[in-house]
Amino acid sequence: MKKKYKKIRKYAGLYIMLAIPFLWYIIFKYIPMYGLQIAFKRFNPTLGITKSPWVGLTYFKQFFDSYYFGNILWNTVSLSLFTMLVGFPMPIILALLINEIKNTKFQKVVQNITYMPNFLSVVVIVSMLTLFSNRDYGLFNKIGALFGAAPVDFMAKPAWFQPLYVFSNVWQYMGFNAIIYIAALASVDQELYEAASIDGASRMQKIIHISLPCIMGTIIIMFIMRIGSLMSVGFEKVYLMQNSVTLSASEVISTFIYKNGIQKGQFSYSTAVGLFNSVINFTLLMLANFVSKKATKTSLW
Amino acid sequence: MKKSISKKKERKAWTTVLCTAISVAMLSGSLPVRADGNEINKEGFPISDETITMTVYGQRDQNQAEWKDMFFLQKYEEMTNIHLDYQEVPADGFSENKQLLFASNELPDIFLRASLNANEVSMYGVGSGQLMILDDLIAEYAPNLTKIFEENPSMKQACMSADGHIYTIPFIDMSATGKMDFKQWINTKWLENLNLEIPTTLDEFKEVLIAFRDQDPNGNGENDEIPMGIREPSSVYALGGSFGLQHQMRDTYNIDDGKIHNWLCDDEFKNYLIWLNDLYSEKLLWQDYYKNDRPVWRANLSGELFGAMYMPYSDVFLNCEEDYSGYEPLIGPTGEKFWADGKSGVETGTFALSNTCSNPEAAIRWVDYFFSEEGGLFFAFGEEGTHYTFNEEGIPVFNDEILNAEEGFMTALGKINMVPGGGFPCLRTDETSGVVASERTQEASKILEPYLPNVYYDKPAVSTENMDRVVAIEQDLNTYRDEAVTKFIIGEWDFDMWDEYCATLEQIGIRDLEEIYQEALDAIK
Repeated sequence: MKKKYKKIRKYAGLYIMLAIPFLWYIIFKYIPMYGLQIAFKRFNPTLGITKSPWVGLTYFKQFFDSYYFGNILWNTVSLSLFTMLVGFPMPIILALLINEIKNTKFQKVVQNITYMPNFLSVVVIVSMLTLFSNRDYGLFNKIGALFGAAPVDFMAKPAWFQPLYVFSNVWQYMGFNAIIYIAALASVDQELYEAASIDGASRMQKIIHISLPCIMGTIIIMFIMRIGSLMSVGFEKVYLMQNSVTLSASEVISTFIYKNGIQKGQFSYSTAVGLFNSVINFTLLMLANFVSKKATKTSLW
Repeated sequence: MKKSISKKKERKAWTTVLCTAISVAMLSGSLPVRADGNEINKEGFPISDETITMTVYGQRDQNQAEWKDMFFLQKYEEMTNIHLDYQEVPADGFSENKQLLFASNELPDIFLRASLNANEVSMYGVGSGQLMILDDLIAEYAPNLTKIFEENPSMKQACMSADGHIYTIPFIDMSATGKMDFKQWINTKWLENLNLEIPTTLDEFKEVLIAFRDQDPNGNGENDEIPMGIREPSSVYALGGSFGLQHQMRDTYNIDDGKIHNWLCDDEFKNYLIWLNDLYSEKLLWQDYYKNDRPVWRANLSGELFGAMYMPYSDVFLNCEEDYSGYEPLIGPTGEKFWADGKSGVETGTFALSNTCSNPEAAIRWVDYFFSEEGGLFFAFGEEGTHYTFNEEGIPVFNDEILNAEEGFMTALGKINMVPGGGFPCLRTDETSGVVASERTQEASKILEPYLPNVYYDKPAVSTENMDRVVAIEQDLNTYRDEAVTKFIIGEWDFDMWDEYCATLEQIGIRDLEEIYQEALDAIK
């Protein structure tokens, strides 16, 4: 007992440092959770959170019964999966390519150019998309016209919403997300490559048999973390891009919560919907972690 | 030791007393509190001999100056001796701000221009009691409004919530222009250039539109004319009068002999959509109407690119309003002339008091003045001489420096009062309607006035238990109908889809909604 106490005193500085993020989690992440109970209550501001009357699963039922429930859920899941399927491998490929550039100056230039778009605001990106996809003078239609394609009003076609969203995302974040892989690649032991060269390995073989396996750990951790935020598609971008014609393809849980909860004041209902979103998210995270543990022996916990 | 225990007990007792006191105070917060400190005068100005200070929360329109700098509020503060602290929020993000205000329960004394809709009154008035019941206060401290209510019982009805109480004070428009929202306009200059008459039937109307499209009526050699303009997808529902579609409760309802019917699945509506689809595919209807792009719409209006279009007021196209004229409703399959887009003239939710209002009596007296002839004129036009003069016919007219202000009329007016943006609790009559409606607009309204529905109903207030259901159904229904109707019109969907469309509406609960409103309407009668 005394020994333990002594140890704590010895490392007091470290414990204090640990206490700061620990408190941050308690205050900003755990304490607000008690507000979740309004998902099961008819929230009345004069009575406050604790005294509002219980209504059970009424609001969950209301959401599941809603005509748009299937639609919204599908849009959220498909948009997230699509974003991840396309958006996740791209930075890895980019990092491998940049790593192959032998001219350091050129390498730095490419890297800078590809990660610049990350710093543009979402509003700017969406305005650019709107301009580029204009039916009469937009860049996409001009390029399409070169190949004889009929002009399309991309922003007004539900079918085009997801590709536009996903590929503009890839363009914007690919360079920035590649940084972590480039760093991982830099720490790979150069002797491995030299040995492979002596054995007569081609460039492609070196990428597949040395570079990729060496950064596999990083890739998997990144993948699991990405799964954790699978259902939280970027709210601002979807909200800015949608209009009444594409709503059937563009309404996702977060925009639905914003419109119902914050704009119309249905706090209990939107809390229930948000909670549902989190539950799905958590299940997916557990699943991904389990699979990764079985398959690669690497996992978050 | 003993002492400390008794001290502890004492402290405990005090805690209990304090807690009870606090909870009693919190409970009684929902009842109107007498303001004993401030004596108010029951008649005339000032309202109080000692200065009363209250906080005001509301939405500031982009054309309005800061409220503390606004002429009529400054002047009125001198007259009444009531000082107001303004918490004004710009229109962008206002609705969120308002919900969060209620949710955090940090309420101002007065809600002004907070556009509280029926759902919000039901939630925060009937439901949580954060809004004060005004019935007795109005009867005692608002003689002008009481008089209007006595003469027009239907207006009082429109202000009542599901529990039969009044929570908000409305904006009342008794002028001809206020009896309808959209007026229909046609470009008479183009008609003259092409030697055409004002159309009277749907067929003639289409012929005129075709001529507008093909014969270059503005004579600039370019094919830039847009024969027919509709502002946004949701406007479509208000313009189906020729097909016998009423726009009761400002929604897709017919009410005949007190029976409510939602016509979204009716053949009349289908025929109307087929007609619109035909106009759209012939490029007679504005091709971008469904994009909700107000700036483009306004640019087209002031650029005089529309042949026929629908607008409530001519303020956006004042520069070319002389070229446009109102005309009688078109005769359609019903064989009758009918203009569907009526209004009761009562816009509820413009003024309310919170349950914590420090001096409700003074606040009600403050607002009542604007429901007198004199106060209505003062609000709309400002001060005689400084801002306006009466012309020979006794109609108030703004001075030149306001009418032709460099910054624009609306911005100049926004420094005097809250007419730009609307939604202020006051009385507007034919005399004062000139402040928003140009002569041209008034003429266009007079032409349509005889063809309005005989009785006009506002949406009846729904009981709190039914509210959740209504909100849930309407949310889905409106999203679906807007998307589907737009697709029918622009030809993305064939009319083979009609049965599926109707089935979906039934599934969402269109008939349940009808029933709930019917019940609510019967309850008022």
